[in-house]
Amino acid sequence: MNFLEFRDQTRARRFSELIRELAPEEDITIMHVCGTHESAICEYGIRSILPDNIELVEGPGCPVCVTPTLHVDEALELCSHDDVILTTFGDMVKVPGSRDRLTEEMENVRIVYSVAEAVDIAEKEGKEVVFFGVGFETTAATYAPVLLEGPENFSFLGSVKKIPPAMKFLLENEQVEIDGFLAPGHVSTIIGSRPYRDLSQEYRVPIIVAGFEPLDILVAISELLKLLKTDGEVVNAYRRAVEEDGNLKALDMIDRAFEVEDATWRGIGKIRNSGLKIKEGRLDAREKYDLDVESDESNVPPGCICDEVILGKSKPDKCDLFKSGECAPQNPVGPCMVGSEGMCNVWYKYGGRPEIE
Amino acid sequence: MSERVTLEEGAGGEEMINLLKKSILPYIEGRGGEVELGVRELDDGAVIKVDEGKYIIFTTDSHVVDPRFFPGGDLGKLAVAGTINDLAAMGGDPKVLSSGVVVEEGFEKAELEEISKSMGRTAERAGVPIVTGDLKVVGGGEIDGIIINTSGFGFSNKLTPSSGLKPGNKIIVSGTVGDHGMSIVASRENFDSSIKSDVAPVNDLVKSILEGDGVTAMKDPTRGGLAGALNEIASRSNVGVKVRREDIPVTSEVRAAGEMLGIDPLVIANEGKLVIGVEVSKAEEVLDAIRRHELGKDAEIIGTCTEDNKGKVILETEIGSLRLLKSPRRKPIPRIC
Repeated sequence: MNFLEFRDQTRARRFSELIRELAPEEDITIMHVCGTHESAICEYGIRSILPDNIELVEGPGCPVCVTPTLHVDEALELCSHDDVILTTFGDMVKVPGSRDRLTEEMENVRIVYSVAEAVDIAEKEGKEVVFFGVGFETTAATYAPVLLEGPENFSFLGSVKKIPPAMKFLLENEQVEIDGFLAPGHVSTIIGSRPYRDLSQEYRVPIIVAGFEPLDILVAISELLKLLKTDGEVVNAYRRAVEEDGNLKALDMIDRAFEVEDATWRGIGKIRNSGLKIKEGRLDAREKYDLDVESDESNVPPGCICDEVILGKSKPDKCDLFKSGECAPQNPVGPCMVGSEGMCNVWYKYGGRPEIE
Repeated sequence: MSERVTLEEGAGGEEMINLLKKSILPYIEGRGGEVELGVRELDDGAVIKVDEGKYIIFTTDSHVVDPRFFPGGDLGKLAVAGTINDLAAMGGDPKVLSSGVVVEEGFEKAELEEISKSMGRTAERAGVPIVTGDLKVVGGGEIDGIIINTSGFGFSNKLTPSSGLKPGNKIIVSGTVGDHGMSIVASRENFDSSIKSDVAPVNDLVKSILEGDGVTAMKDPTRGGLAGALNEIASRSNVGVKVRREDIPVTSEVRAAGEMLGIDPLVIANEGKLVIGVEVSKAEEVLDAIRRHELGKDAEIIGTCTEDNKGKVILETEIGSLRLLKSPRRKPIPRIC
């Protein structure tokens, strides 16, 4: 596959014209829920070619950003065990807990690129290794096989979430106005396009499964605009990667490794049936270390508006800490700046909706 | 915990400037009547006036790279080319170099000799002899292998500081971008590719560029890549810079590897390239002169300087939209040059 065909300028122009024709008079908000979408939207300056009354917002699409303070506090608690090596993704370092955050300088913290690397450490070094794993369904699919067969000295501190229940929550939330969703391409390769169907019909919103090339996104936005006045419909605009039923093998593994639970999302609160909890008690770090940590989820750093950004109610450039540079990737205040998929982090890199004279 | 230096602060971006301004420059800066550009300007080198229209350019650079031997070059070649290029980018004709080597106990002598041979060869080909040097051996594990510092000076009668751009100037890049950075990443990741580093001294290329008129600014786009260099010259010159993605030369190999590894070729290092600002009336002429040189055959005009968007770099993407092209910040690729 040649990615250049998805960046063809002539076709992009055609779709941006189509989007202008289809755009309604009134303001509309399109939410996506994926850090990779936000990156692509910014990298290709998609907002600069949309009509001003179409807002594209990220929503809770960054798994690092929505990890509750409790889970960070639990990871910190595990670090107090001298014999434990706590492994996690680089982005989880610096995410604020209720009092403290993990740092790379901590002796028993190790940054890994995958859960497999964590298992490797457990097997090679023979010490107790905990993997602090965050993510959505896409990442859950990579965790599942390890959780089903990991070694005895390995355990899992999970913060794994499901996207569709969060979308449902946002649609029910009266403070958040969403006219349609771009469904996340990566998550959808696992869960398929089917899970969006009920949501779309119940709340009468269009949901378009979108890929990550600029044309993918422009096509998805134009499809969404066509369906604005309808009763809601799901369109799979990322057929080259997403099937209606998803990846059955991966789903089966997720089913065997995890069970559904209610989960807390930072900045949002508890969302029903939105979490994936490890089924096999054997590898559950919470059971193994008998974790009983109390955490204050309401502890938001002063001035930080990440909670509103995560809900799609505000944007990074509305934040004083963002504007003043006080909150930046090298010195992040809120979670949306820590996670490389967070809207603040992506906007810092690309400049967001660019202020071009 | 007292504050510690982080890797990000060595990546050549805003964090590095902040660290320099806070912890180093205020304590070391010296100024005399002859110093036209000193440490405060943070340009590629110092400019010392010797006579009306005659200057000495002086610079220094320490080099570490992992791996030390990579497709297209090695640490020795990099150490020599790096300093020559800093001098040349200021409009200097490099004359001599020094070599300061810090090596750890236990380092293989055969490798030290390979690196030294490469330094000698590169210096000889560039016509810039290494005339003085120093060696320190430190305990095993105190550094990672070897660090090479090179300093050098050259003469100039046509300065091309990074603050010289004017609105209307055209921006030329002397060839494909991202080759060095991508070759390093690819060899670290054991990524099978034909990508070769572009590391090479550009002093001869600069000589042919400066034979004509119209060049207003030059910069070698090393750490921070093309994006870093463009932002630097835009902000120092207080102009806007608008470039078109489609006009920026990138080899298809670098582009493909970048897609696969998630690395933008515009933000990674080059070691044998120049970004050149030139008056619009002379742009084609300068472009032709560059293209006639072996190292400049892929040169392109990639953009224009504007009165508005001062200090910013605007990128017109492949799909015709606009976005800011910012200097890369977080997650630098460490020890690359």
